[in-house]
Amino acid sequence: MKVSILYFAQLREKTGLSKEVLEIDPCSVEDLYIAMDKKYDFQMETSLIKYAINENYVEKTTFLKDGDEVIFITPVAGG
Amino acid sequence: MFYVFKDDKGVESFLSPNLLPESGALVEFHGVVRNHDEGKAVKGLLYEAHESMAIKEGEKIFQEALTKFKINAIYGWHRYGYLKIGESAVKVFVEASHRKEAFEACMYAMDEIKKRLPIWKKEEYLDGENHWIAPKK
Repeated sequence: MKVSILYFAQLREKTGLSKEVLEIDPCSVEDLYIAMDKKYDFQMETSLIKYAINENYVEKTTFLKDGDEVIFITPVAGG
Repeated sequence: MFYVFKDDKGVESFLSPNLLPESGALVEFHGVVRNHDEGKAVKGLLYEAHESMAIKEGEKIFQEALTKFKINAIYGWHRYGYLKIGESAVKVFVEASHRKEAFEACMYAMDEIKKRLPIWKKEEYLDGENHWIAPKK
């Protein structure tokens, strides 16, 4: 199945990408983060990451579906 | 309504509060870029945002505030892009019949905005260094 990942802030700088489209086997959103961390070496504490699918926060155990758009949310700092 | 503006585009068009006749209190919060952080001299802040998700999340927070507190209206915006010292990054306006509810709802909305909006901030210091910052405890 195909999913897209949007990168922001530290992760955008680390990957050099704003968006990446991938063909993946079914997995949770956290599994996908761990796979991308292996690929890019984000150097972020995994426990600090929050996850959004299609612009809504989800639990890390949420399974991805074909066509989902994922964001790995590093600590936010609005305000 | 919650808005997200890139740079200062749109900020000027955000009208001054048009108070409802039943509102006896208006609380207005401005989050402003200051010239220091943890002992370092700050030159400016670069905010990055997922704009459409930030708008959705901001709207959710305002709807929660309307449910939790006896207020008449809540509206505001957050900016992203590069901001200089003294510029406002965020503004929240709350109208209520009485001040207590307006203050409490404004505090709630700002706490949630800082925790939940997909907005990141890179501090740029006068000494030339910069880094992405995490929220204070």
